[in-house]
Amino acid sequence: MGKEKPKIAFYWCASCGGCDESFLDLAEDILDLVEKIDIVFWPVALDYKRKDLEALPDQSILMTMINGSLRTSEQEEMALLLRRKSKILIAYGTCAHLGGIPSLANQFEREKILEYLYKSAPSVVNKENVLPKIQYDEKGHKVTLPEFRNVVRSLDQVVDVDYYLPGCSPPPKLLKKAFSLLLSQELPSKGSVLAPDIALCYECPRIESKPKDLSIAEFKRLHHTQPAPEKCFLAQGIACIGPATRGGCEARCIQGNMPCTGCFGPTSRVRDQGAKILSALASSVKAKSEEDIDRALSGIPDPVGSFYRYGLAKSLLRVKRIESNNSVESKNNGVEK
Amino acid sequence: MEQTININLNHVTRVEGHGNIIVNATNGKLERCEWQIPESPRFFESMIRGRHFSEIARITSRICGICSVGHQLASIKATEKAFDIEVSPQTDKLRRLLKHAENFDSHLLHVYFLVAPDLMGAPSVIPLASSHPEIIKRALRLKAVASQWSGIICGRSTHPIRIIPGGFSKLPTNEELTQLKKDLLELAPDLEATTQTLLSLAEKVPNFHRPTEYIGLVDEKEYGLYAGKIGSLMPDGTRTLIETADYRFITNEWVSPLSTAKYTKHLMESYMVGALARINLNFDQLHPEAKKPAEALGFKTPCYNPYFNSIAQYIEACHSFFSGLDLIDDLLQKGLVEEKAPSYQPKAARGISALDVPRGILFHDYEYDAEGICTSANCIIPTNQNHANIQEDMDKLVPEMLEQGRNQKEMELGLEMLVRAYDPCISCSTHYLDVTFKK
Repeated sequence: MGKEKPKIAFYWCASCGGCDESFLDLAEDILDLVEKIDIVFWPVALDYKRKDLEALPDQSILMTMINGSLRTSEQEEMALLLRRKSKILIAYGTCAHLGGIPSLANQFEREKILEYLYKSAPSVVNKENVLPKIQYDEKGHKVTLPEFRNVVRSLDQVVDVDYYLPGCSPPPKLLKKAFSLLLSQELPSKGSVLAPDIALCYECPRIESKPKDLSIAEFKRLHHTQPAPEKCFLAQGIACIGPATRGGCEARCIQGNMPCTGCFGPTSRVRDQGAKILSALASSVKAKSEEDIDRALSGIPDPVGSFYRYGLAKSLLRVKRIESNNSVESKNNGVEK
Repeated sequence: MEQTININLNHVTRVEGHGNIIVNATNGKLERCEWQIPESPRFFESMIRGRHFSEIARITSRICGICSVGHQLASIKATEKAFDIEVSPQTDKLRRLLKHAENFDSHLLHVYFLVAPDLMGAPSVIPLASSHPEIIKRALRLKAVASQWSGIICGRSTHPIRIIPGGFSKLPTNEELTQLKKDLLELAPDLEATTQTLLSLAEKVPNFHRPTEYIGLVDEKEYGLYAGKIGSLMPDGTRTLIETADYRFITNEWVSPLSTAKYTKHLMESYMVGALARINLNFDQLHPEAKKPAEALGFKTPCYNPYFNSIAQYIEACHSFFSGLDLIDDLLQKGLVEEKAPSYQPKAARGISALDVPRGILFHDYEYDAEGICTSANCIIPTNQNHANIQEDMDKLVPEMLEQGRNQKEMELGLEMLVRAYDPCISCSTHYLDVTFKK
């Protein structure tokens, strides 16, 4: 018998499928990779089911990559199960890392969201006000549905996470690098984000045109202006989240003549990405009085959606509420934090 | 034969997202047959209210990573409709070319990586890499060029960067388009080989028929994908056309107390959307070069076998390949030019769009206030529209399989293959889908 190949698993929670598809961006390199590893669970591509996963000994999977954010009790169960079976757990992609775009829903109360979805959305016909049930008895069969939590969470708000691979979705270069790093014996320190720990500006092709003193008079929306193809967006008065965002994506949005929206999350020195960009922008406006600063920033409609596009679940704005929800949920459902 | 069957497939694998199949039969008598979806909703419609129109498409893109091009195009079209933005002929052609890229990419991904293992008797694509390396290498070649195809137009194939209201933030260069044409032409032998592979596997496609209502875009100018009216085709051949703005007459979303899913129905208990629906509606408008593989594979319309959706997808992939080449020639003839973006102002208005994405017809419906802030949004996803039809298929298929004396393993395979044939994008659903039941 030759040496046993390391066991690897992939799973998705509330996700769009883009992270799973990003593995295919490895193209023919994927053939070398599957030679070296034994994929024991990957629902989108392989036929192993949950019971097969449950049958594996604890800690028998070397590495599991989970993408997607977490909203339901079933996703929590799967995250806990995979954590138990795996030596290394990786939050793959922005949703698992930071909550992602789905965590923008944390701005709204659960009941209001459900009300809109089932009753008031324009195409719904629901005169009897029918609502779904978590448990329902249908002709003697008990039907159960996963329970919705009050908020969307990132993976590390539910289970212990070893590493993070950022990006919506992660670029193939970083994925390839992460695989070779993790399959070698030289593991980075726990909690590492597997991307350069520098702000995007440092790898931005437009860095040369970023003045030291931005002195932004007003913020313009993209439809007001046709951005110059070579010049720093901030120097053109267009909000760009690059200064508060980790690099490693090779500035792919900037290369498409669009400003950064922040999907890689902050560097290790920044606790709250949205607060960081807000303070960076506020200190870059030309105006100095509070009133004038407010007026300049009003050119950015929907600040939450602009500054916390991908990270509302991890933002300090939400911590208090998440903590109180967790204590309630632990009591009700026995779900461990 | 009096079988006792207890199927509990949790979750069905090789589909996008989470779905379960539950079938119970005792002594040959069917007691329970359910297609359940425990997928997590992500509430996009609630999330995009209060956001500025310039950001909506980049948010709704995240409904689905596989068809993010389609979601962005549907979103942008709805916004442009609301603000009366007219795009240039060049933009229109580039978007159609992009639409073909996604159709080609998504269909080949599904046929090769998710469906082919069933037809080749493998539990996944992984063992095929060593047993049939030439097929897998071919699939990866096709997939790589497909990603480049959308990448050069919109920045990347997953969550495009450059699609904006009125046009593109950056255009591809003429050199990139020329190179793309060259790369595509090099794939022609791979497509021909794909036809041969599918031909050798065609007899493995289960023989099951259930006529239903088929819904898809119908465009008088071309095969319905990017624009047109909503077409309905009934089993008796009756065709109806409905304006996009009236999509609610088609979808009639309803809520069940048993389920957090919203379902749709039109003239029958259920309808089907996707490649098979489109090809049943629009076969004559296929590119002549795509009719050749259709003929080689013996594919005829109307086709009532849902398992043939995968074959219809492959024929559509050929259609998109050849139509894409024609569009590239057309664009290169004049050469791409930098254009001034159309000027427009947001206003209080509603915009509705319909687009036929790989898995079926997709609707985006937004209302904006005078500042261009979204006040109401609704997205109806193809997979939601197919769930009731999958259940209806199962209700007919399971008794047939019991009648044929199939054992549990064979039934499990047949049912999983049925669900896979629809290429459901469960994760894509913005509505919380769930369990459906026999009436």
